[in-house]
Amino acid sequence: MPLFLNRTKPIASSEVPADAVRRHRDRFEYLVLPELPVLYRMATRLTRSAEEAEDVVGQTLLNAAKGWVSFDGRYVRSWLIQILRRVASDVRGHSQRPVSTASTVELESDLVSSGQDVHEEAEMRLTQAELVKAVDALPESFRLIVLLCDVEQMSYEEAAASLEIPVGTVRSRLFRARRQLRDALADWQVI
Amino acid sequence: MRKLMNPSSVNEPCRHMVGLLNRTADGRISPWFKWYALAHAARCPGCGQFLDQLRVVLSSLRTSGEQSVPSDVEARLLNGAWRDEL
Repeated sequence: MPLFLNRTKPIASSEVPADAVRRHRDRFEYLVLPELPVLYRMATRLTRSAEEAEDVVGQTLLNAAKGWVSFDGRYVRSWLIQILRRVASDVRGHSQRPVSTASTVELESDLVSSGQDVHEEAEMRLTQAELVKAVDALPESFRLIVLLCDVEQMSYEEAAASLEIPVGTVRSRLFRARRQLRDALADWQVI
Repeated sequence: MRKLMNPSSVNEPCRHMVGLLNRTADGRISPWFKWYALAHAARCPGCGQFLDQLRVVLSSLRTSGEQSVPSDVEARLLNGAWRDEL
């Protein structure tokens, strides 16, 4: 058995070399912080509240930092989304607030859009509003998969790791969800 | 190929093509299967329409993911309590 496994006393922070702490933090910042927009978008879609979304992402980063040593190095985005889903579920449980679809469109406008022409943006937002409604009308298990695979463009494998389900289930749910979306948008004559 | 097409409805894709058409639309497919799906869709009205509609839906969904975090929120998150844990 390696010697370090026999260690009974926890390592004191003074024993850890300063550059190891810095490397540890740098690695976290390098891998986790670029995922902030994805986490924020997922949180806003899950909580339907900009304020709660910020709390959820803040708590997700905190939990991720606490558990950083246990991260296995695969699919950082999936690992973060697993944490975020649990945090969002706790927050929703505490607030006991039913998720309403009415605020979603307003919430969409809170998010900063990426520098388009005003007319183009208004046109896009109209279609986006209908699209958001259609996505929100999906059952939660379908909605999450659409958000991960089609909005965030994660691979089936990453989505499966995020939701802790088999890849085949991701595919079948995704295809059924897209079919429902297609039908809903066809009803609204968007497509 | 004609035998493999769905003769019942021009609005519905052939059942056995749904998976391939989905993967063609989202680009997660090998070139050979993509060629097969496109060749089928070109001759089958139901699958052709399904693929076109799917592409519109996916392109709209991708656009909806191009929004970023408001700068004040981002600043607060970047300086959050997580920094004390590392």
